[in-house]
Amino acid sequence: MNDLRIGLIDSNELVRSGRSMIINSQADMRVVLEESDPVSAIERAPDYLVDVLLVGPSQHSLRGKQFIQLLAQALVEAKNECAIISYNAFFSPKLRYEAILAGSQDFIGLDSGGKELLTLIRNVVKRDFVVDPGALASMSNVFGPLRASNQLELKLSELNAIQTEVIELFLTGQSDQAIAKQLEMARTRVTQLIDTLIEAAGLTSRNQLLLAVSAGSE
Amino acid sequence: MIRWILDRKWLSISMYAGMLALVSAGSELLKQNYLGLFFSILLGVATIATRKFAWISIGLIPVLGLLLSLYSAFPSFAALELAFVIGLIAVFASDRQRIWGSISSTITAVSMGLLLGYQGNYLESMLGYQANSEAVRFNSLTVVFFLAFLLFALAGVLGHLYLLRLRHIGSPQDVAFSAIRAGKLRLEIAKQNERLEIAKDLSELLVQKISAVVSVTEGGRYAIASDPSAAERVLDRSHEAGRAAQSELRRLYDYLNSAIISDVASFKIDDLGELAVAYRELGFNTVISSQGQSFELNAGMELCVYKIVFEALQNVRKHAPLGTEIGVDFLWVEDGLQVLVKDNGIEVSNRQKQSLGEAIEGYDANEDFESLVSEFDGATLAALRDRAAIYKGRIEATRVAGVGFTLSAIFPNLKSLAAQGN
Repeated sequence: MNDLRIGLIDSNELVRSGRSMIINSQADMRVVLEESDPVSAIERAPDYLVDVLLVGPSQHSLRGKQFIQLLAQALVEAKNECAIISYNAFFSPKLRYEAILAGSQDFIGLDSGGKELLTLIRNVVKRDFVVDPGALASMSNVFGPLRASNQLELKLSELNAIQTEVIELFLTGQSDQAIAKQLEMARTRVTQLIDTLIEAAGLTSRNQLLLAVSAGSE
Repeated sequence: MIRWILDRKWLSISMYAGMLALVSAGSELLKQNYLGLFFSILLGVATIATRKFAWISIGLIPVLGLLLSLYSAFPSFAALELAFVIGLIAVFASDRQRIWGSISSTITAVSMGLLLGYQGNYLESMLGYQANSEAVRFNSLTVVFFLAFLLFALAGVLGHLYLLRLRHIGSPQDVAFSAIRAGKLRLEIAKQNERLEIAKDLSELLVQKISAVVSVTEGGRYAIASDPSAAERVLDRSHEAGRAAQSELRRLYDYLNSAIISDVASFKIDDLGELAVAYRELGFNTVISSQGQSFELNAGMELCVYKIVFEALQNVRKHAPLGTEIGVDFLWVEDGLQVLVKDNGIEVSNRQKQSLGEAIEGYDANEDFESLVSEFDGATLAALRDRAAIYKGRIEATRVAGVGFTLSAIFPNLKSLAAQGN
């Protein structure tokens, strides 16, 4: 079994050390990269050979969602498929929503236990991971929706009946495998359709696509 | 009453009354109308009485109306003077008195209509017509009545508006103090906002440090479970993280405490003016006076004096009824300073009880003895005495039987001590 390769980006060395001990204590994952400088992280991101990047808040020159946005963009442009999990000192739905909008797969607070962190890491490495659509919808209602771009709306209007069904099932939070099975089609076709829409809309994650399509269909 | 006289509060209204009476008398004497002098004298009396004995002024309004109608050489001018008195009543009188003032003014307007319009030839001489029928005389009565009524009503409304202005906006001095205070408060808020921002940054750092402690200890738990030899390393890291958090916490603690100290130290004797305004707004007429040549004090002394007066005012507010007058007197002598904070709370309280029909039996020696320091909270007085003792001062708190309470703070060598300190 291949180990999950984890990268840590946080300017606080002690936090990195703590996260590193939790991850390295697991048999199926290990920390292969630690970075303290956000600018250098963005420059080197395309070359990272990691499955998950854990990104902290305490960056010197770049902070919060701006850093996540640049990092996610750099990864997408390099076709690097590693997932981003961002964290902060405390968990809050607002911070989680902002992180997701910026390009994180999900968000966790340092006030959550190590067990939750490990579970989240194992979940986000699944290529078709999305946050629970109900939770996303509720955050979108409270903090404002993510507007669909014109390109996305155009692309959605060009979908045939089967493709539309795929997207409808995607919006319910089902995995690619489950959608493929339900519609009796190849899983790769489902994945390919979703990836095409993400690219056409200029987005960086499935969560963002789910939010944008939901907002457009309301 | 005696206190009112001693306080010379009658002085300004007497000056107004004197001027009004003189102007009125002068105008009457222009036409050698000696009977008109009765009106002038009564006008002066009515004006003086508006401040303290409004009922007398209200009673005199119809009399003045009659006199001006019957004897004045210049009824229009005399009516203006009478309107001024009605305006003053509207300023100083109670709501009940104001209602009676309106009734009295209306009766006066009717009597003026009758005497000047119906029986007299006031309008005829002014407009140059002959009142040769009952209908014309009745019209003259109506016109004079309405003119007088409108004039008196206007005076009453203007007086009431002035009173409302005094109540809600204050005198120009109060407005000025309020503006100064608002400016200072704005500055203080800006300063506090700045402090809050710094405290926010410090607390953010602290959160990071604490998060690091939590992260390291939690990571340690996982590490020790898989490799017990990691325990020492984990403990070292935890200790390091704990120390960092503690030092950040210390910075925040020091900062917050230093901010509070600098705030308190900023109070000066000059700031008492604002405090007096605030107490006036609360319903305690507070007047600050200073005698002698003041000298420079250091920040600690200023704060000490401010604190003494502040506590004394708090004490009055706690025990004395609304309407109590407070005098804060600074007596500067060659090398020392005496601060007196006097109030007439007992007098006001007794007056209120009397007006409710309660019998007041005066006071006795026992009352004097009992209340020597009982008005002041013991701990507060002790703290003020300790504070004054730093500058070789002493504080005496006494009750002036039948009048109120007096706090005296005496600093015999304040100037020398200030010079030594500098």
